[in-house]
Amino acid sequence: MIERYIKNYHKIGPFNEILDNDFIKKLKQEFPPLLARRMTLLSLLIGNVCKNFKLAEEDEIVYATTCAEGLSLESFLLSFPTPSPLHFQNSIHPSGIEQVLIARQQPINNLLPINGAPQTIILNALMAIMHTQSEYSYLISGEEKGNRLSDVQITNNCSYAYSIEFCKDNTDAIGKLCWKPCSTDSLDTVITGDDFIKFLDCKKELELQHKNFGKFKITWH
Amino acid sequence: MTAINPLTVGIKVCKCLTAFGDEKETYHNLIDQNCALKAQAVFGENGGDNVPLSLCNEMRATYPPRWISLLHKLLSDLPDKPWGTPAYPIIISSSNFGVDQLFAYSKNNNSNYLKNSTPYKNVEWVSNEFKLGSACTIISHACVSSNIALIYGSKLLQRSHVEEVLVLSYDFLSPFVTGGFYSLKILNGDFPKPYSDCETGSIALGDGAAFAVLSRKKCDVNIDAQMSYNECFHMTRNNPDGSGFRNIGNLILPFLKDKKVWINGHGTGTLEAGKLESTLFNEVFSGAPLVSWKGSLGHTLGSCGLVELAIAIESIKNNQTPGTIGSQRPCFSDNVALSSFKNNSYNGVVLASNAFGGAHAIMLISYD
Repeated sequence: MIERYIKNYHKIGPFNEILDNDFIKKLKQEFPPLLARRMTLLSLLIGNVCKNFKLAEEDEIVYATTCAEGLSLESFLLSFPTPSPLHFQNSIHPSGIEQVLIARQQPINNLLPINGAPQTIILNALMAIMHTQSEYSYLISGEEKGNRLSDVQITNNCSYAYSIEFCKDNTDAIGKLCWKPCSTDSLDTVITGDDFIKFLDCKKELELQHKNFGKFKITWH
Repeated sequence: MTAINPLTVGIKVCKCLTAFGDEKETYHNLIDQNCALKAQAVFGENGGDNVPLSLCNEMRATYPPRWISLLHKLLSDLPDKPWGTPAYPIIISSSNFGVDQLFAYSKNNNSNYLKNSTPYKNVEWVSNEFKLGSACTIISHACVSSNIALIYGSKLLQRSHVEEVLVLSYDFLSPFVTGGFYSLKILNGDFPKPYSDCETGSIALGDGAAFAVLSRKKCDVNIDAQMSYNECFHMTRNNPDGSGFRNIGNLILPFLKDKKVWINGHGTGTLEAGKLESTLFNEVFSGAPLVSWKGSLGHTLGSCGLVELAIAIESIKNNQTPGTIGSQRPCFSDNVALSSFKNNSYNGVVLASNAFGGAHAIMLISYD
């Protein structure tokens, strides 16, 4: 059984509607104005849930997103035949987390950006956390609501972000993540990112199992 | 500070595909100083200015995608194992996936193109095509994607239930990415004329794909150490103090011990990054010869780390390392090897890549 202790978590959203300008303006206030002007919605949401991190270079980040910078992707495609350098830049994975780390000038040794289907990305991300080697690791995830391409599931249909701080030490922990790597014959649990963020509010015990990822259990102290 | 686990693994198999062909064909063309790049329309069948590209086949929007026959060619040598099961997991990395299909969909709304329009849909489609299982992690980290995939694959091998790991990486060009780099004004529109007058330098792009089978058992070629570092200084520039290159070099330096190494660097053609890479590596690695093959193959983007690893292994097998094609003196530092050289006296290779956001990845390979 492999364990990591949950020290803290933060979340924002989910928002099913398009966010209004005042709300976005508030998110931007957490960054230098010149940088904030060019930041994507997803990066602003991620910045909000990461703002209290005391990130050290030897910490590890697992960054998980299925649709990433969907709005930049849509805008970039629309910009042809004169492609937009800003939207191209912002659409390159893992732009969301990088915009935040760059704005805050926070270098880090290990950043693992993973993508995946909505039904398995959480399991993949939790497994990646269990493979981190440093004392502190962070799972950071988010999506931004798209426009025209959300109808064909290329961009997401809601916006949110969350961060979970894990540690190998249980001092001041608020919860625990346990993992049995072996496969199981039980039915695979399906949990999407959109579901997982709602779970974080409930603080109930959560068991997840999948033939490819083993068995996870989240408990709260 | 946490002690670094070097993530030592054996490389059981490593193969690549470029515009020249497989790793053997690619290697021999590099030794012969051939250039795979051709001046081609940036938007492919949609025209546009000429830029240097190396393509395995014509850059056209088709369904099935133009790259599926290329993946069949690459994976025809894939060892027969139950890939995609928990004991034989797969990591697929790219900075493109099926973005050519997404671009095509945005032009003509043909629903066939949706099957590969996102990274996970592309991986599902490819997995079905090659009958791979679903124990798969998808990694995308711009031009260090395949390096990060190798690092993560090595971590998976630390679990006793994992026997071997398949790392597969592919990047096939499309107007989406060629147009994107064109918009950044860093593609050499004057190719094949040199771009020496361009203030920021210039790059070329290329198709590239590769796979590696990683084993916890010692093999003829092994990764002795691999790590990453993210400067997070600027999205499109390295820290001008060179700390990114110095840090990544210093992270791997302790593992070299008394090995004599040559270096395959990133070397895309951008002047500032090239100057930092060559001068800092000259300093950290005490003048070890430095080569880059992107002047012939183009930058194969997310797959460049794994493509160039396959070529480095061919170089080891043939006792000769291809030089840096497409460059001429004066270089930024004396360690840059323009011509091919015998590598019999060396017993290790350092391979380095870097990406937007100041992401760096490096590995040390050794061999018997």
